[in-house]
Amino acid sequence: MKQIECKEIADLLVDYSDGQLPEEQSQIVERHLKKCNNCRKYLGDLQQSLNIVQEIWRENLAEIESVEISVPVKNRRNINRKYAAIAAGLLIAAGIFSVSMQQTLQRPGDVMTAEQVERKISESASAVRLLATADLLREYDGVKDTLNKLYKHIVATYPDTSAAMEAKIRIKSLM
Amino acid sequence: MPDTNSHIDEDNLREAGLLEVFLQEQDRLKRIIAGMGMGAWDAEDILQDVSIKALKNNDRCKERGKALGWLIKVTVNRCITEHRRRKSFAAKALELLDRKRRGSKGVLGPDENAVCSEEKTLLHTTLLELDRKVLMTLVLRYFCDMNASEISEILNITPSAVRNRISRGREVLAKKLAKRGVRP
Ligand SMILES: [Zn+2]
Repeated sequence: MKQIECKEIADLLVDYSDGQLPEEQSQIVERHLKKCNNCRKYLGDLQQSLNIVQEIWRENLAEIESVEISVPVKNRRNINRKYAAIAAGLLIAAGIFSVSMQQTLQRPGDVMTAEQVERKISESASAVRLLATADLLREYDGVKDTLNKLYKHIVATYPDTSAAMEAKIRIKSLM
Repeated sequence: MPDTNSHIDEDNLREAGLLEVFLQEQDRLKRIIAGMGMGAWDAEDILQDVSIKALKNNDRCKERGKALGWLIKVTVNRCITEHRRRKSFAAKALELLDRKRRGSKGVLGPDENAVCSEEKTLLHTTLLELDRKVLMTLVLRYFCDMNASEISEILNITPSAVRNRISRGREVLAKKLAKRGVRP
Protein backbone atom coordinates (compact mmCIF):
# COMPACT_ATOMS: atom_id res chain seq x y z
CA MET A 1 0.00 0.00 0.00
CA LYS A 2 2.72 2.41 0.97
CA GLN A 3 4.69 1.81 -2.23
CA ILE A 4 1.71 2.64 -4.40
CA GLU A 5 1.44 5.92 -2.58
CA CYS A 6 5.12 6.71 -3.19
CA LYS A 7 4.76 5.99 -6.88
CA GLU A 8 1.84 8.40 -7.09
CA ILE A 9 3.72 11.05 -5.18
CA ALA A 10 6.84 10.59 -7.33
CA ASP A 11 4.77 11.39 -10.40
CA LEU A 12 3.79 14.70 -8.85
CA LEU A 13 7.20 15.74 -7.56
CA VAL A 14 8.48 17.42 -10.75
CA ASP A 15 5.42 19.65 -10.91
CA TYR A 16 5.63 20.15 -7.16
CA SER A 17 9.23 21.31 -7.27
CA ASP A 18 8.34 23.62 -10.19
CA GLY A 19 5.50 25.14 -8.17
CA GLN A 20 3.03 23.95 -10.79
CA LEU A 21 0.78 21.86 -8.57
CA PRO A 22 -2.64 23.10 -7.47
CA GLU A 23 -2.81 23.94 -3.76
CA GLU A 24 -4.78 20.84 -2.82
CA GLN A 25 -2.32 18.41 -4.43
CA SER A 26 0.60 20.36 -3.01
CA GLN A 27 -0.69 19.73 0.48
CA ILE A 28 -1.06 16.01 -0.19
CA VAL A 29 2.56 15.92 -1.38
CA GLU A 30 3.75 17.87 1.65
CA ARG A 31 1.94 15.59 4.03
CA HIS A 32 3.56 12.58 2.39
CA LEU A 33 7.02 14.16 2.37
CA LYS A 34 6.87 14.69 6.12
CA LYS A 35 6.63 11.00 6.78
CA CYS A 36 8.57 9.52 3.82
CA ASN A 37 12.37 9.60 3.65
CA ASN A 38 12.56 8.06 0.18
CA CYS A 39 10.38 10.67 -1.46
CA ARG A 40 12.23 13.46 0.33
CA LYS A 41 15.48 12.08 -0.96
CA TYR A 42 14.04 11.86 -4.49
CA LEU A 43 12.84 15.46 -4.32
CA GLY A 44 16.34 16.49 -3.23
CA ASP A 45 17.84 14.64 -6.19
CA LEU A 46 15.37 16.29 -8.56
CA GLN A 47 16.35 19.72 -7.30
CA GLN A 48 20.05 19.12 -7.09
CA SER A 49 20.30 17.55 -10.53
CA LEU A 50 18.54 20.54 -12.04
CA ASN A 51 20.87 22.93 -10.21
CA ILE A 52 23.93 21.14 -11.53
CA VAL A 53 22.55 20.95 -15.06
CA GLN A 54 21.82 24.67 -15.00
CA GLU A 55 25.37 25.26 -13.85
CA ILE A 56 26.64 23.21 -16.80
CA TRP A 57 24.46 25.24 -19.15
CA ARG A 58 25.72 28.51 -17.67
CA GLU A 59 29.30 27.38 -18.16
CA ASN A 60 28.53 26.46 -21.77
CA LEU A 61 26.95 29.85 -22.26
CA ALA A 62 29.97 31.65 -20.86
CA GLU A 63 32.07 29.83 -23.42
CA ILE A 64 30.01 31.01 -26.38
CA GLU A 65 29.14 34.43 -25.00
CA SER A 66 31.67 36.19 -27.18
CA VAL A 67 30.40 34.70 -30.42
CA GLU A 68 28.68 37.48 -32.31
CA ILE A 69 27.36 37.36 -35.84
CA SER A 70 26.98 40.61 -37.69
CA VAL A 71 25.34 40.42 -41.06
CA PRO A 72 26.32 42.66 -43.93
CA VAL A 73 22.84 43.60 -45.10
CA LYS A 74 24.13 45.16 -48.31
CA ASN A 75 25.42 41.93 -49.81
CA ARG A 76 22.04 40.42 -50.27
CA ARG A 77 22.73 39.23 -53.79
CA ASN A 78 25.65 37.07 -52.79
CA ILE A 79 23.74 35.31 -50.11
CA ASN A 80 22.26 32.46 -52.11
CA ARG A 81 25.63 31.54 -53.47
CA LYS A 82 27.22 31.72 -50.06
CA TYR A 83 24.44 29.66 -48.58
CA ALA A 84 24.94 26.90 -51.13
CA ALA A 85 28.62 26.82 -50.28
CA ILE A 86 28.01 26.61 -46.57
CA ALA A 87 25.39 23.92 -46.98
CA ALA A 88 27.76 21.83 -49.08
CA GLY A 89 30.48 22.45 -46.52
CA LEU A 90 28.31 20.99 -43.82
CA LEU A 91 27.75 17.80 -45.75
CA ILE A 92 31.42 17.30 -46.33
CA ALA A 93 32.24 18.05 -42.73
CA ALA A 94 29.82 15.34 -41.63
CA GLY A 95 31.85 12.72 -43.49
CA ILE A 96 35.25 13.63 -42.15
CA PHE A 97 33.93 14.34 -38.70
CA SER A 98 33.83 10.73 -37.55
CA VAL A 99 37.37 10.05 -38.76
CA SER A 100 38.87 12.84 -36.69
CA MET A 101 36.95 11.62 -33.66
CA GLN A 102 38.38 8.14 -33.96
CA GLN A 103 41.87 9.57 -34.13
CA THR A 104 41.19 11.47 -30.94
CA LEU A 105 40.15 8.32 -29.16
CA GLN A 106 42.85 6.01 -30.38
CA ARG A 107 45.67 7.90 -28.80
CA PRO A 108 46.77 5.45 -26.10
CA GLY A 109 47.05 6.37 -22.47
CA ASP A 110 45.41 9.73 -22.93
CA VAL A 111 42.82 10.82 -20.42
CA MET A 112 41.01 13.87 -21.67
CA THR A 113 38.33 15.68 -19.77
CA ALA A 114 34.80 15.75 -21.09
CA GLU A 115 35.26 19.41 -21.93
CA GLN A 116 38.44 18.71 -23.90
CA VAL A 117 36.70 16.05 -25.94
CA GLU A 118 33.79 18.35 -26.62
CA ARG A 119 36.12 21.08 -27.75
CA LYS A 120 38.20 18.77 -29.86
CA ILE A 121 35.12 17.48 -31.66
CA SER A 122 33.84 20.97 -32.28
CA GLU A 123 37.18 22.36 -33.36
CA SER A 124 38.06 19.76 -35.91
CA ALA A 125 34.54 19.78 -37.31
CA SER A 126 34.55 23.54 -37.65
CA ALA A 127 37.98 23.60 -39.24
CA VAL A 128 36.97 21.02 -41.81
CA ARG A 129 33.72 22.81 -42.48
CA LEU A 130 35.48 26.12 -43.01
CA LEU A 131 37.99 24.50 -45.31
CA ALA A 132 35.25 22.94 -47.39
CA THR A 133 33.42 26.24 -47.57
CA ALA A 134 36.58 27.98 -48.73
CA ASP A 135 37.20 25.30 -51.35
CA LEU A 136 33.75 25.83 -52.78
CA LEU A 137 34.33 29.55 -52.99
CA ARG A 138 37.40 28.91 -55.14
CA GLU A 139 35.19 28.48 -58.17
CA TYR A 140 34.17 32.10 -58.07
CA ASP A 141 36.08 35.05 -59.48
CA GLY A 142 37.68 37.75 -57.40
CA VAL A 143 37.75 35.83 -54.13
CA LYS A 144 41.49 35.27 -53.86
CA ASP A 145 41.95 37.72 -50.99
CA THR A 146 39.01 36.31 -49.10
CA LEU A 147 40.29 32.79 -49.61
CA ASN A 148 43.73 33.70 -48.42
CA LYS A 149 42.26 35.23 -45.28
CA LEU A 150 40.02 32.27 -44.69
CA TYR A 151 42.84 29.72 -45.02
CA LYS A 152 45.04 31.79 -42.73
CA HIS A 153 42.21 31.98 -40.25
CA ILE A 154 41.94 28.19 -40.25
CA VAL A 155 45.69 27.78 -39.71
CA ALA A 156 45.72 30.30 -36.87
CA THR A 157 42.52 29.25 -35.12
CA TYR A 158 42.68 25.47 -35.42
CA PRO A 159 46.43 24.80 -35.53
CA ASP A 160 46.34 21.12 -34.56
CA THR A 161 43.81 19.95 -37.09
CA SER A 162 44.32 18.22 -40.39
CA ALA A 163 42.28 21.00 -41.97
CA ALA A 164 44.97 23.47 -40.91
CA MET A 165 47.61 21.41 -42.71
CA GLU A 166 45.43 21.38 -45.82
CA ALA A 167 44.90 25.11 -45.52
CA LYS A 168 48.68 25.69 -45.50
CA ILE A 169 48.96 23.83 -48.78
CA ARG A 170 46.10 25.89 -50.27
CA ILE A 171 47.79 29.14 -49.24
CA LYS A 172 50.91 28.11 -51.13
CA SER A 173 48.88 27.22 -54.21
CA LEU A 174 47.24 30.65 -54.16
CA MET A 175 50.60 32.39 -54.43
CA MET B 1 3.86 30.20 -38.34
CA PRO B 2 5.24 29.86 -34.81
CA ASP B 3 4.35 32.44 -32.27
CA THR B 4 5.42 32.94 -28.71
CA ASN B 5 2.78 34.27 -26.39
CA SER B 6 5.34 35.16 -23.80
CA HIS B 7 6.67 38.28 -25.37
CA ILE B 8 3.61 39.84 -26.88
CA ASP B 9 3.59 43.43 -25.87
CA GLU B 10 3.61 46.66 -27.80
CA ASP B 11 7.19 46.25 -28.88
CA ASN B 12 6.50 42.82 -30.29
CA LEU B 13 3.71 44.07 -32.52
CA ARG B 14 6.02 46.63 -34.07
CA GLU B 15 7.17 45.77 -37.58
CA ALA B 16 10.66 44.37 -37.84
CA GLY B 17 12.53 42.22 -40.33
CA LEU B 18 13.82 38.83 -39.27
CA LEU B 19 17.38 39.97 -39.62
CA GLU B 20 16.93 42.99 -37.40
CA VAL B 21 15.36 40.83 -34.72
CA PHE B 22 18.15 38.28 -35.13
CA LEU B 23 20.80 40.90 -34.50
CA GLN B 24 19.02 42.06 -31.35
CA GLU B 25 18.15 38.64 -29.96
CA GLN B 26 21.35 36.66 -30.44
CA ASP B 27 21.79 36.25 -26.69
CA ARG B 28 18.47 34.49 -26.39
CA LEU B 29 19.40 32.12 -29.21
CA LYS B 30 22.76 31.47 -27.58
CA ARG B 31 21.06 30.06 -24.49
CA ILE B 32 19.42 27.43 -26.66
CA ILE B 33 22.73 26.58 -28.33
CA ALA B 34 24.62 26.47 -25.03
CA GLY B 35 21.93 24.34 -23.44
CA MET B 36 22.26 21.81 -26.22
CA GLY B 37 25.95 21.52 -25.37
CA MET B 38 27.40 23.20 -28.43
CA GLY B 39 30.80 24.85 -28.15
CA ALA B 40 31.90 28.21 -29.50
CA TRP B 41 32.72 26.93 -32.97
CA ASP B 42 29.37 25.20 -33.32
CA ALA B 43 27.64 28.29 -31.99
CA GLU B 44 29.27 30.37 -34.66
CA ASP B 45 28.18 27.96 -37.38
CA ILE B 46 24.65 27.69 -36.10
CA LEU B 47 24.19 31.43 -35.64
CA GLN B 48 25.64 32.01 -39.08
CA ASP B 49 23.17 29.58 -40.61
CA VAL B 50 20.27 31.13 -38.74
CA SER B 51 21.34 34.61 -39.84
CA ILE B 52 21.48 33.50 -43.46
CA LYS B 53 18.02 31.98 -43.21
CA ALA B 54 16.78 35.16 -41.57
CA LEU B 55 18.23 37.18 -44.40
CA LYS B 56 16.65 34.98 -47.04
CA ASN B 57 13.24 35.19 -45.37
CA ASN B 58 13.63 38.70 -44.04
CA ASP B 59 10.12 39.93 -44.87
CA ARG B 60 8.34 36.77 -43.85
CA CYS B 61 7.26 37.78 -40.37
CA LYS B 62 5.87 41.24 -39.99
CA GLU B 63 5.48 41.28 -36.23
CA ARG B 64 8.41 41.26 -33.90
CA GLY B 65 6.97 38.57 -31.66
CA LYS B 66 6.39 36.29 -34.61
CA ALA B 67 9.85 36.99 -35.97
CA LEU B 68 11.37 36.00 -32.66
CA GLY B 69 9.29 32.81 -32.61
CA TRP B 70 10.48 32.02 -36.12
CA LEU B 71 14.13 32.55 -35.14
CA ILE B 72 13.82 30.41 -32.03
CA LYS B 73 12.23 27.66 -34.06
CA VAL B 74 14.94 27.72 -36.72
CA THR B 75 17.64 27.70 -34.03
CA VAL B 76 15.96 24.83 -32.20
CA ASN B 77 15.73 22.74 -35.37
CA ARG B 78 19.28 23.54 -36.34
CA CYS B 79 20.53 22.52 -32.88
CA ILE B 80 18.57 19.28 -32.98
CA THR B 81 20.08 18.37 -36.35
CA GLU B 82 23.57 19.26 -35.21
CA HIS B 83 23.06 17.32 -32.00
CA ARG B 84 21.96 14.21 -33.88
CA ARG B 85 25.09 14.44 -35.99
CA ARG B 86 27.50 14.53 -33.07
CA LYS B 87 25.60 12.69 -30.43
CA SER B 88 26.45 9.07 -31.12
CA PHE B 89 30.22 9.32 -31.00
CA ALA B 90 30.33 12.13 -28.46
CA ALA B 91 28.32 10.05 -26.02
CA LYS B 92 30.45 7.01 -26.68
CA ALA B 93 33.61 9.03 -26.15
CA LEU B 94 32.39 10.41 -22.86
CA GLU B 95 31.34 7.03 -21.59
CA LEU B 96 34.78 5.69 -22.38
CA LEU B 97 36.48 8.60 -20.68
CA ASP B 98 34.29 8.33 -17.65
CA ARG B 99 35.27 4.71 -17.24
CA LYS B 100 38.93 5.53 -17.77
CA ARG B 101 38.88 8.34 -15.27
CA ARG B 102 37.20 6.19 -12.66
CA GLY B 103 39.76 3.50 -13.28
CA SER B 104 42.69 5.88 -12.90
CA LYS B 105 41.40 7.68 -9.83
CA GLY B 106 40.10 4.68 -7.98
CA VAL B 107 37.85 5.42 -5.03
CA LEU B 108 37.07 9.04 -4.48
CA GLY B 109 38.36 10.77 -1.38
CA PRO B 110 36.25 12.76 1.04
CA ASP B 111 37.08 16.00 -0.79
CA GLU B 112 33.76 17.72 -1.36
CA ASN B 113 34.88 19.48 -4.52
CA ALA B 114 35.92 16.24 -6.11
CA VAL B 115 32.54 14.74 -5.34
CA CYS B 116 30.82 17.78 -6.74
CA SER B 117 32.79 17.71 -10.00
CA GLU B 118 32.16 13.98 -10.21
CA GLU B 119 28.45 14.69 -10.06
CA LYS B 120 28.84 17.33 -12.71
CA THR B 121 30.68 14.98 -15.03
CA LEU B 122 28.04 12.37 -14.44
CA LEU B 123 25.26 14.74 -15.37
CA HIS B 124 27.27 16.16 -18.27
CA THR B 125 27.47 12.66 -19.68
CA THR B 126 23.80 12.09 -18.97
CA LEU B 127 22.89 15.24 -20.88
CA LEU B 128 24.76 13.93 -23.89
CA GLU B 129 22.95 10.63 -23.72
CA LEU B 130 19.55 12.18 -23.22
CA ASP B 131 17.05 12.05 -26.08
CA ARG B 132 17.73 15.29 -27.92
CA LYS B 133 14.08 16.31 -28.00
CA VAL B 134 13.78 15.78 -24.27
CA LEU B 135 16.96 17.78 -23.77
CA MET B 136 15.67 20.62 -25.95
CA THR B 137 12.45 20.73 -23.95
CA LEU B 138 14.43 20.96 -20.69
CA VAL B 139 16.59 23.74 -22.13
CA LEU B 140 13.60 25.79 -23.23
CA ARG B 141 11.89 25.25 -19.88
CA TYR B 142 14.76 25.66 -17.43
CA PHE B 143 17.30 27.76 -19.29
CA CYS B 144 15.09 29.93 -21.50
CA ASP B 145 12.32 30.19 -18.89
CA MET B 146 9.52 29.36 -21.31
CA ASN B 147 6.31 27.74 -20.10
CA ALA B 148 4.70 24.60 -21.46
CA SER B 149 2.35 26.35 -23.85
CA GLU B 150 5.12 28.51 -25.31
CA ILE B 151 7.32 25.46 -25.75
CA SER B 152 4.47 23.54 -27.35
CA GLU B 153 4.25 26.14 -30.10
CA ILE B 154 7.98 26.12 -30.75
CA LEU B 155 8.19 22.33 -30.89
CA ASN B 156 4.80 21.72 -32.52
CA ILE B 157 3.60 19.34 -29.83
CA THR B 158 0.80 19.59 -27.28
CA PRO B 159 1.43 21.22 -23.90
CA SER B 160 0.79 17.90 -22.20
CA ALA B 161 3.45 16.26 -24.38
CA VAL B 162 5.79 19.04 -23.26
CA ARG B 163 5.04 18.32 -19.60
CA ASN B 164 5.54 14.66 -20.29
CA ARG B 165 8.99 15.24 -21.76
CA ILE B 166 9.92 17.52 -18.86
CA SER B 167 8.95 14.87 -16.30
CA ARG B 168 10.81 12.17 -18.19
CA GLY B 169 13.95 14.28 -18.49
CA ARG B 170 13.94 15.36 -14.87
CA GLU B 171 13.44 11.78 -13.78
CA VAL B 172 16.43 10.56 -15.79
CA LEU B 173 18.67 13.26 -14.31
CA ALA B 174 17.50 12.72 -10.74
CA LYS B 175 17.88 8.96 -10.95
CA LYS B 176 21.44 9.28 -12.30
CA LEU B 177 22.27 11.43 -9.35
CA ALA B 178 20.58 9.02 -6.94
CA LYS B 179 22.91 6.26 -8.10
CA ARG B 180 26.04 8.36 -7.63
CA GLY B 181 27.10 6.59 -4.47
CA VAL B 182 27.03 3.20 -6.15
CA ARG B 183 30.30 2.21 -7.77
CA PRO B 184 30.79 -0.85 -9.92
ZN1 LIG C 1 7.16 8.16 -0.41
